[in-house]
Amino acid sequence: MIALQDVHKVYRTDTVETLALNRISLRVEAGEFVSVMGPSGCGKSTLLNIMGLLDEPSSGAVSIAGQPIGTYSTARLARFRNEHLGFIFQSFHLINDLRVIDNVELPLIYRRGLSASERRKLAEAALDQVGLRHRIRHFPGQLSGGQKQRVAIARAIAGNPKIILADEPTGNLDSVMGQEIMDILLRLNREAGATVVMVTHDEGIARQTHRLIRIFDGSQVA
Amino acid sequence: MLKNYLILAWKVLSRKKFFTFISLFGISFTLMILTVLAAFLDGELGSHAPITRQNRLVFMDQVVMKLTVPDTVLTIDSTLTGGVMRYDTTMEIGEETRNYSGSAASYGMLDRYLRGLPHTAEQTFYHTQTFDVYLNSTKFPVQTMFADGAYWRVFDFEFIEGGGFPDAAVTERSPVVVISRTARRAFFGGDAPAVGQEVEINRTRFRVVGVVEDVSRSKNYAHADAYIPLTFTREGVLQEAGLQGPFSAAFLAASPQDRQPLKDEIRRKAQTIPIPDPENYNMLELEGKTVFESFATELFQGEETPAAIAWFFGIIGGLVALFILLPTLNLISINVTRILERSSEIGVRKAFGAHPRDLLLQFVLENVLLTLLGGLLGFGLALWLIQVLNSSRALGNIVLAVNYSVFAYGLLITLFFGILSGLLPAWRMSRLHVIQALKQSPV
Repeated sequence: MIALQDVHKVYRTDTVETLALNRISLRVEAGEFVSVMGPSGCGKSTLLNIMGLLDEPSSGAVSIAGQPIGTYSTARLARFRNEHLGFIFQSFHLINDLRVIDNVELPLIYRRGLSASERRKLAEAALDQVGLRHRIRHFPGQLSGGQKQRVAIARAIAGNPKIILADEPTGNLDSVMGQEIMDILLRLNREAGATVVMVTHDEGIARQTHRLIRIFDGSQVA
Repeated sequence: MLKNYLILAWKVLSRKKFFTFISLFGISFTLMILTVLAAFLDGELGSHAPITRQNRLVFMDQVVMKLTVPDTVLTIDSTLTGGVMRYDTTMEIGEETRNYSGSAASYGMLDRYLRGLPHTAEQTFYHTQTFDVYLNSTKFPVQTMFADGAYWRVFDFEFIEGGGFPDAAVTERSPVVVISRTARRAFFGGDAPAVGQEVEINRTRFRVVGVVEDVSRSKNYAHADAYIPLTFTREGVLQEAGLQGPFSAAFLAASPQDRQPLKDEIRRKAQTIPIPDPENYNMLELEGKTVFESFATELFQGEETPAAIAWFFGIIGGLVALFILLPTLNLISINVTRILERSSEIGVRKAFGAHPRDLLLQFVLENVLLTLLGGLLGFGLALWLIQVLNSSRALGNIVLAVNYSVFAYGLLITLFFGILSGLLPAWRMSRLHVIQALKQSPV
């Protein structure tokens, strides 16, 4: 499903060159739930961003669902992300000015050919899956941290993407809330067949996934 | 997509109430001021009664006499170079004005030299004087216009009843009068018909033959409470021998194209008029002015016409620029802060498939919606202010009316700046890298 071939990422400023990823090659198969672990600053998020086509590798190749992404234009990349990828961030990144339902509908606005009622149905179905249908008219500021992350998950799955990329989705939550979020992700993987790649610092959370990738100083060590 | 953005823009604006209020206030206040200013200028300078044919009108209200003598100025500059003193002598030959006299014209001069000039369809000579009239022990200062029969043909007053007096009434010295709406109310109380009734001005009883709508005080060629035949002016005024007196002249050019040649003709005519007192004055200047030139020189008294026009445009242009610039700067500053605050939103939208073009369109549409709302509000405020100014008579006889084209131009200009003010920060932010946008987020 996701294939990285010899991916190298270097951040350069005028004076400093920082190696973020060092010749990483890996595959994530369709339907897999993979966690990525490593100390802070080791390149986990960079790896996830490259898998999510939010960042480009300095060298190496990325392909998703057999598509050679490196040749894509900005517009095609945006469309590809919209149709195939869903993102969950540690700090939720919900838009506070929009109601829950509007936040969840956000990816669908950029999808061609969907009517307003279709968008609404998909968003409501996604909120159903995370158990927040009754909160559709609320604003993010009126929700708890766990609820916000569930809205973020609903937003990520509203467009039925094949791949979900989660950057420390339980990082800002207590253990009970964290496990609730984990249960939702496990269910999405098991029942909807979504491929999930999740960055985490929590060994207990990581142990619940199919496979663990360990990164240290930009290199894959396990 | 567009409908979505509009709905989204509406949601954002309705949620960010303080920002929306500040922006709307700036835009609507600007448009209100521009619309009212335009209404005022349109009322003063537009083609409304009694100057609907203003593109054919030329006024002559100043006879300037000067005594100019040749004047030589000798300047000697001295410089000390290497112990040697050098002298540089400059001689400038110019003119010095010794005597100056500027005043309105005498009837004799106008009648003899300026009647029947080429390019003229009609001309009228008139002057005003104020007489105190006591009505039920209350003093009513009646501004009286002494006019000829042509006055009613050069100016097209809006008659509420009756009409002007004919040439024969002037030559036969018929005691007839045209009064204004305000004078009718003062003389007869209320708005009952006045034609056929009599009023007493300066110990003479005049029969009312017409009632005209009030004219703004600033239109000194047409503003009066009573208009009577000029043969009733004080004794001797019509026979004054000099060039100067109390009279002004208004000419109706044969066509709009004849207006400039007529102005040139008046200036040339001055060279042919003999000056009665050549020892004190050796130069005569007459200047024909358009309605606008007359307005500008009246506003900036003491200035020559080109300077008065430059002052007028400078001040009006400065005011308009100031009133447009202020909300624009306000919008730019608010937009930059607001869009920076929304970097998280930009990051999320990009991550979920928004193209930079989509984001640009979204932010620009928000600004367009905001500006249009401000425009509507400004229009409502302008209508309200004009209504208040008209009903309170805060501007005297000036009745303001909304000039829709100026409002539309004002809205277009504000829209332009509204878009511009949003475009730059939106463009910068739309190009922001998604990772950077998410990291900059204050969340």
